[in-house]
Amino acid sequence: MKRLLVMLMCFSTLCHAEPGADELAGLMRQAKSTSGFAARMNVLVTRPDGVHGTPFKVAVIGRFSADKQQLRVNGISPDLVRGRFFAAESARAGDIRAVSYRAPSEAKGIDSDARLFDSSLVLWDMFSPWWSWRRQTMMTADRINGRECVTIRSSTDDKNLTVREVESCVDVNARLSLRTRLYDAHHALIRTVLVGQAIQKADTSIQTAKKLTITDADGVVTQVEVYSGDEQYQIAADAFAALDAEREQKSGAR
Amino acid sequence: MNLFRFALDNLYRRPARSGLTVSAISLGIAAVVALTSIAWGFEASWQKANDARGTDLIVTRIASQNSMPSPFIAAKVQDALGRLPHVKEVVGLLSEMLTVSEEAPPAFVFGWVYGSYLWDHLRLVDGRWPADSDEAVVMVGSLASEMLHKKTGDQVEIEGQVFNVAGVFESSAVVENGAVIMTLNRAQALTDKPGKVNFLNIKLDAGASEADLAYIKEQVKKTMPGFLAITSGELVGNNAIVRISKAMSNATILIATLVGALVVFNTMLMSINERTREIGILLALGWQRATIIKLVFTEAMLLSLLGGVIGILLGAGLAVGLEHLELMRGKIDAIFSIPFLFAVLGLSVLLGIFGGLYPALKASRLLPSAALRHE
Repeated sequence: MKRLLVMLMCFSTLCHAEPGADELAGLMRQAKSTSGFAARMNVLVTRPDGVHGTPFKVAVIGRFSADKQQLRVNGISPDLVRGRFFAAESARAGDIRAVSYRAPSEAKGIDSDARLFDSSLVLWDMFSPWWSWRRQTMMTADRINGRECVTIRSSTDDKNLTVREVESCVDVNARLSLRTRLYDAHHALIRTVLVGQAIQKADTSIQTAKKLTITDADGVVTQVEVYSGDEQYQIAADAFAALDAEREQKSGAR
Repeated sequence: MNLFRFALDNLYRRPARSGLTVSAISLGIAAVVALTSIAWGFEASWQKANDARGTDLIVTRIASQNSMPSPFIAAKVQDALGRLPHVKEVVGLLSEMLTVSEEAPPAFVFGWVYGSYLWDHLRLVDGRWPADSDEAVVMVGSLASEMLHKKTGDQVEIEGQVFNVAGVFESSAVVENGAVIMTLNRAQALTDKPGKVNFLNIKLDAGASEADLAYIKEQVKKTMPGFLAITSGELVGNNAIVRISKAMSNATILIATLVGALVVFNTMLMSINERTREIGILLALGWQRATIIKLVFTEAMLLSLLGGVIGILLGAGLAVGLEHLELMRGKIDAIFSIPFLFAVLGLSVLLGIFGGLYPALKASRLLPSAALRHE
């Protein structure tokens, strides 16, 4: 009887225990893994004085595997953003290299934490590299938009990075950070990314953001809504040619 | 004076209370009529679109939470489907909800295989059909043409690309009338989904029976993992938006029934309390207890029936008004069937029965001596 009780306790507590911080960070990395995805989104930027910018549409394609992490963002409409491309890739060491271009042969290197299209969209954030940082600390449970989440603090001492600390409130079952706060080395808030609506990925319980709001420390608010997506997007061979072209240009210049 | 006239006079004597009760019932019934007709209309419109195309079966990826199934490479299963017995044609369809004009809400943009049977049921109102599978033109539904203010020869910008409007068409399905259609090749290029479709539409030959349909469904399930073959009715039934709108209309029916019954109950109970002496006199004059019950029931029925009739008219007006609202045009097509309207009227009668039951019994149980002493 005693043994049975112990077994029951094991099943009800230990065996179903919530994952630890490192484990959850690993699960978040895993949840991002894809051989190819595409998403199209409407973006609306509101300046600190409350004035709205012209709404625009962007397309994002990318792949996240253990050895290759690449993203490309391009403006769809209106003319202001059309034909403007940004691409980035993350090396094994975690460095993120980014370029901007209109034609791949004209690709120029940019800061990976530069704002895209004068909005709060930042390539560096899209890679969420903090899930690979070594220091992950589990904090308190929270509730965001009626959904329960656990807060994880990820931090790094990498002096090359603007963001040194990230607090993510993660819905563990959905593998989705409902609120992400990015801080600098002095613990000053840089940006907050808040998920307003999520959709479930096909055939899994994992969710991805459909609507999100990015609020910069300077008061710029960017609202993003995904209106079309493809979870099994086939990335064309030349989709990231601009990254190679810029690398070759650089090595040629040397 | 007959009982009906007597009951009617009783209601006339308290016009404010009777009016408020009728208003409350009619609002509840109006909500039921509007929401249910829209939910059914939404479902029927999608089914009508598939039926009008002549599609017997639809193959799609097993549905996720998204209302539109994830796109998939058509070539993965198209050939295998074509080899199944009685399959006459297998054609892909890509569908997206996209902004076609900054002045109008997003519209459905369909990509259909050029020259396939999908186009056959459309009636050309103006202009011409696309000349080939790669021509960068769109066909605009009659309703979409009106909403987008676009006619043959105009240009539309979709996802940053400019298309000429080749013609305007009309369909028996409101969903298609409010849509923009282009060839599948153009839609795939536009949305950066080369080779992909949301659905594969199967048209069977004339000799196919229900058993053949079931066999094809079973074969898809067995041999094409991750895919599902369903009829248009099943597809529409699985649609998240249809399910939500149906759940909302069911919830409204439940709430309206409860609130309506409570309103009638309250009105009749108040009326009985105020008329205790009157009922006592009627009983003393020799009225049967059954007659008192009939009187109270008749009053309750009159209130709920009148509320029901006004509610039906109000609900129908609301649904039709919503259909013509700029934001909703081409997306809803309310359906009012005679049996449904009678069922709603039946519901209002039920409200009268439930709401009037206790007050009627209470009134009939009054003792004439006690009732006459009542102040």
